[in-house]
Amino acid sequence: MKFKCFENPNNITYDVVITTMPYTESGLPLMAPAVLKPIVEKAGFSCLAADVNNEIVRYINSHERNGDFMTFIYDEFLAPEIEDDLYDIFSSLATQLMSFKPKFVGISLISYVNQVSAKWLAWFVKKIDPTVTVLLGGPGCLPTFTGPSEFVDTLMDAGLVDYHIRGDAEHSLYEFLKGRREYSGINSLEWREFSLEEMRKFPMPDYSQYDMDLYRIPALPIIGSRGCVRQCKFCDYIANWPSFTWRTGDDIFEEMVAQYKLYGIRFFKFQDSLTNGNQKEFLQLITRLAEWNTKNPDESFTWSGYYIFREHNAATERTWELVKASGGHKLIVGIENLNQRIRYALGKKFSNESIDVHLEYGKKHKIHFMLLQIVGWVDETDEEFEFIKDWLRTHTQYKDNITLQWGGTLGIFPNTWLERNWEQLGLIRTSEHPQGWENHAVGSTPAKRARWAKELNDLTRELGYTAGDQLNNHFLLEKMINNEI
Amino acid sequence: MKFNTCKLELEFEFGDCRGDYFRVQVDNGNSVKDVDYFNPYHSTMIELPATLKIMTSGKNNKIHTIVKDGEIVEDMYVKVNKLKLDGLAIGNTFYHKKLKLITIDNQEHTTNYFGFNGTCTVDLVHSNVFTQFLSLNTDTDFLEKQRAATLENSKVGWQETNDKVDSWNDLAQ
Repeated sequence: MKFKCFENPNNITYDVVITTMPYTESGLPLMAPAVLKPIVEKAGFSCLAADVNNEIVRYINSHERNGDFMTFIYDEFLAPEIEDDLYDIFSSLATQLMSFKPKFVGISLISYVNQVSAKWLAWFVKKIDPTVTVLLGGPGCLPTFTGPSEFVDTLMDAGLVDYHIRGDAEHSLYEFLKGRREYSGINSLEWREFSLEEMRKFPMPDYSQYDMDLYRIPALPIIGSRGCVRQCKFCDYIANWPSFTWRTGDDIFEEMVAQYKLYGIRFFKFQDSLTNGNQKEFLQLITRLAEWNTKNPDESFTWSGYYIFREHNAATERTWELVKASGGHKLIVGIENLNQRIRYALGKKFSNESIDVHLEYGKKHKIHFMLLQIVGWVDETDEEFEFIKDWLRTHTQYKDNITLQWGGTLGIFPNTWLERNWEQLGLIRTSEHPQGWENHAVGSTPAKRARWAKELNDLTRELGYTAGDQLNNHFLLEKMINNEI
Repeated sequence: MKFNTCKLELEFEFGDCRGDYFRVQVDNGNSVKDVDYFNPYHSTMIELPATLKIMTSGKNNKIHTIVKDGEIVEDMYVKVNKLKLDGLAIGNTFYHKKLKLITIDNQEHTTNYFGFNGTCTVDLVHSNVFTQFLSLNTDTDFLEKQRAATLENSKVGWQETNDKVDSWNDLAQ
């Protein structure tokens, strides 16, 4: 297999190669290598930023035995029918990557689903050159954001990985390359969040080595904030970034203009947890974008990102007008549950009425929403499940401007409020998997929740809405239905 | 590169009876080495494909298995607790489903608990370590079950693709 991101016809060398790993289902570029490339260069090293995940995911998804690849990705099992293909992927990947003769190979893991691939890339790389320094980083190194990483420890003990960079790597990778190997976040449990000031001084991501034609969506990822303004009970993201830090609207706008001038791309995808966490800065950003779009109708920007609904008020209408004028295109909203009682309980205090108001404005301004849902809250009842179905039946007027993503049902992750209050909630752990829990008080089991998810998916489609669909969620739900979780 | 060499490690657990232990020998095709109860580890470099043999001897069932009231109260045994390739441990299924001891009287026991004199042969038939590791690590029963379930679910529309699904999925990353 030949990887475009590792083509090297002129035998160029790089000191550092940073790559993503499969499996992350995304038609967009993954940011980490592009974010870290200028940091590496600032430290005086040359760097190749590669997003190989995209190429491998495309290959897997179009493969007739894609389910067998998922068994490898999740369980590290081998289906004999894909034996040669799988070997070809990893041996070719490592061989082509090592043709750049790097001193350091950085492997970025966006989720735990990347672990098996990262392990084997590290193995092949060390086989080719045992002297190369392999670094792992990213939230995917850990089963959750915090705590020790059994995965990394195993690879370190095996001599396949030399360093683990924890948390944001913008400062720690720089310090590492400068020889300060004791810096916080390098082979240590603790790491330092960066301050507002630091966040605003980091260089722009450098996508110059990404082949944008390979992506299904011609968009540039961008980060406007870290952390979240909410404290949702299921969320482990806030355990890693307890403080909410943000860039100014002006700063973000300037980056969008600069990236557009470099790459000619005018669609931006915000990759942070929410675009409108700081309302003042968000308003400033959408105002600047709206002005730009008015002045430059042939070069107008569009954007997409995570958005939180708040209780509606007198400013709501004007905000939606500005969101539209700014190019707000597709907004991903964590509704979590259509039952107001559950939504309040999990930490999102906006009413069902406000959902209707926001959806109405979305419809009016032709803004699309992806509504993220968590099926099977800890004490969700059959009646509440029925309510969700009724909601779907009574909101079909929005079917053309919402997509419903039912996901893989509620997973209980370490370091979340849910996990800390496990016993109090009367939950019983049935497996180590996040979805492996039961609540006998309401008859909630993994298989039942997976059936709910399936039913909601089916009803969503039956009623003419669009349902989000991901291969890895299918895989997970199938396991749950088959009582394998 | 062939990617066909690696360090193979075995971790054993010895259980004595009347102070006696199994004699364990590991044959990697090139040499035969003893493994002692006081240092129950074996490590060797191998080149694939290869055959590994674990040989147990020295047990007299009349002496080294003590039965009281129909229950075994003491037994001489050796257990294979871990097999590692280049430091990476093979998962649990292997030990319980893929290790077979053929006793000297030709009885077959699928287990990692060796309680008889005999030979356990591990055929490392693949020509690269990656495939070999995965092959040993794979729970074939589970794999087949998973495939059957996927097929079944696809029949009832679970894997049905939706024409209206678009780039949204990607944007939710």
